[in-house]
Amino acid sequence: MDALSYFFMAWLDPRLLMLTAIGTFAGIYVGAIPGLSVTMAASILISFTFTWDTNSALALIAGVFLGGVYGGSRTAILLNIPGAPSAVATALDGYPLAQRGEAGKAIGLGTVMSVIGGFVGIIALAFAAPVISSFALMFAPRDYLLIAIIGILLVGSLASSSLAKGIFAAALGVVIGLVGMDPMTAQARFTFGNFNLMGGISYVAAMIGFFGVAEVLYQMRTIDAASVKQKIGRMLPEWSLIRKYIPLSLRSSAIGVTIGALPGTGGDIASLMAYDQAKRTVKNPSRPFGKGAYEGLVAPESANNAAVGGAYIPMLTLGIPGDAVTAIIIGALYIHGLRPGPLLMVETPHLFWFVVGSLTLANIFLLIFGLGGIRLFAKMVELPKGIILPLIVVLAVVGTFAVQNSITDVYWMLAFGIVGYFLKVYGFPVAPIILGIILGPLMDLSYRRAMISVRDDPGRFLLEFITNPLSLVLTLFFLLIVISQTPIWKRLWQFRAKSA
Amino acid sequence: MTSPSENPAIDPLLSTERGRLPGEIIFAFLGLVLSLVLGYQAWTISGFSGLSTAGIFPMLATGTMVISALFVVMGNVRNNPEYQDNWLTMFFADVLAPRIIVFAVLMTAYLFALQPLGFVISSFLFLFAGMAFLYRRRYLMLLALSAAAIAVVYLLFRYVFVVILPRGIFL
Repeated sequence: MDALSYFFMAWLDPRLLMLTAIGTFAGIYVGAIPGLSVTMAASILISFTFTWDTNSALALIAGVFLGGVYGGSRTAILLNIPGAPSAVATALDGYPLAQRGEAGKAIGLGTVMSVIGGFVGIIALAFAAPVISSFALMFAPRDYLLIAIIGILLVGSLASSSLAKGIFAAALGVVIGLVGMDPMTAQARFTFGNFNLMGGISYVAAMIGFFGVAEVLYQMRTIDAASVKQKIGRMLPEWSLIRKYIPLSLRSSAIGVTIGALPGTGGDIASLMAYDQAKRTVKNPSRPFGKGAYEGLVAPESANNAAVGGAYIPMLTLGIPGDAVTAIIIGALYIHGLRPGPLLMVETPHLFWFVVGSLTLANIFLLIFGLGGIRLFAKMVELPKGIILPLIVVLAVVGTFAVQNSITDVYWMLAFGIVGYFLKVYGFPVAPIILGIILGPLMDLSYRRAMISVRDDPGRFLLEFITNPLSLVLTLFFLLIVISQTPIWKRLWQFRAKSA
Repeated sequence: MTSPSENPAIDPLLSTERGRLPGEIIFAFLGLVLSLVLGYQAWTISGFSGLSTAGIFPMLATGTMVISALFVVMGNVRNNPEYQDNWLTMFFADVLAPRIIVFAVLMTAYLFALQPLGFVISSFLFLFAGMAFLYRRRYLMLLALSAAAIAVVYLLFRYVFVVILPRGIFL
């Protein structure tokens, strides 16, 4: 009964209700502005809450997180610029849909699927938190390493034109992510003796450069042929369309929750894995994947919002961030005098149920603002390319500068933008670079911790991948992905098809 | 409108099979050189002194870069060119058209003007110059639009999101 009263606290208190609504609205629109990531939206908006009471802060944070993850998909669909890493997979089919004049339908369908995913994530958080958290607690460093490699491999497989280019891009991303001082030994890596590089290269500068500036330059090639203008048609998707994709949405949401709950992974990997799973399992998509398939939109949109609920599980029960945004939230919780971790649920169970209630409320606001604001938002991209592209550059500068107030980051953004332009022209995918930057440091630390734990014995290191049940499952999954990229897999399928 | 996805020459990212673009071999070769330079840098961190040193993972990453870059270079060499004329002429006509060079120069000038002139003035100048260069009509409207856009961006970020923006000699 107590749990229920705490669940509905944000619903019944007008102030908390208003704060959840403001958080969701701000999350959607800041997350949707090209170049402004949900991480930035969260870090700026959460910084207002440090002087507030805990409940007000948690209500706003819930809205910002859910709204920000969803908002990132808007620009992914309309401009091919993901507003957040979790929207990278959305752009793969969302943008081709917009190019076909189905931008309104794509956003509408994406909104409904995000809300379904959000609810699945919240239900998992409420009922499966103890089970999933105890499962995640068993993870060893080698398991983190395997998960990160699996994530990178999946992105490599998404680069369908050339696997070598996909792997090159991912490895380049890993190197960019490793620039700076080694956190374990304080040795300089890839700094070329430059003191400014000791702190590493800003991930936001790389993301905005590769996705924002590079896209602006790339758009110049077709500036006379077409404008960024997208035709926004019917906003509310037909019930038949929603019903058709509910099973895929639920499957993708399950992936989203599971991946979101794994420490160190978040909506970005969840959405890419869900996209890949849909690509492999949907036999007759509405259109080929990458050309505007609804399935390619439904899967990542359901998964990335489901991952929000999943990301709260290790954050609240173990004190481990699921992704960059949950890392910021953990920092905010500490400032509010809370200690996220196993004792949080024992000592302050009301707080847990308040968070679940706030997230549910934010998800409802997401549906209202998401479907209600499509036309308003679409007006922003009906401007001619000649007007909108310089504006995107200015917003990209603001977004990059605001993170660390560093002009050097802005120069990095330009450099990444120019390199990213050539990469795009010559068919190198940029999404693996971003994933490499995120996962590179995690892979490095996990590998070295695993190796140190076996005292640099390569035999024991490899043996543990098959002797530990959890590691064995992950290793088999890893091998399955590797084999699926080889001609053997193709021949196997052809043989199976012939036999059938 | 011809969508990029329908025209492999415009959007090679979405095409599965296409000819070699002008400058593509040089770019791939530069990627290989970069991989080798980074590989050497990775080796200088801690060499092969252990399996859990700071340099081992950078060596693995740069080694992967070198191998994949070799595959990319070989693929490009094997691929037939998509263009008929001199590659340099085609490079500046298709890959690096004058419009792209001018806009990239405008962007670079804008970023380097941020500190001396401040966000408001440099952004206003860039917006107007960029829009005038790309849109090429209704200049008075563009002037007003640039001023209005900068006012909205400045007020929103400076006072609502409390973002500190580069400040120059005036604003």
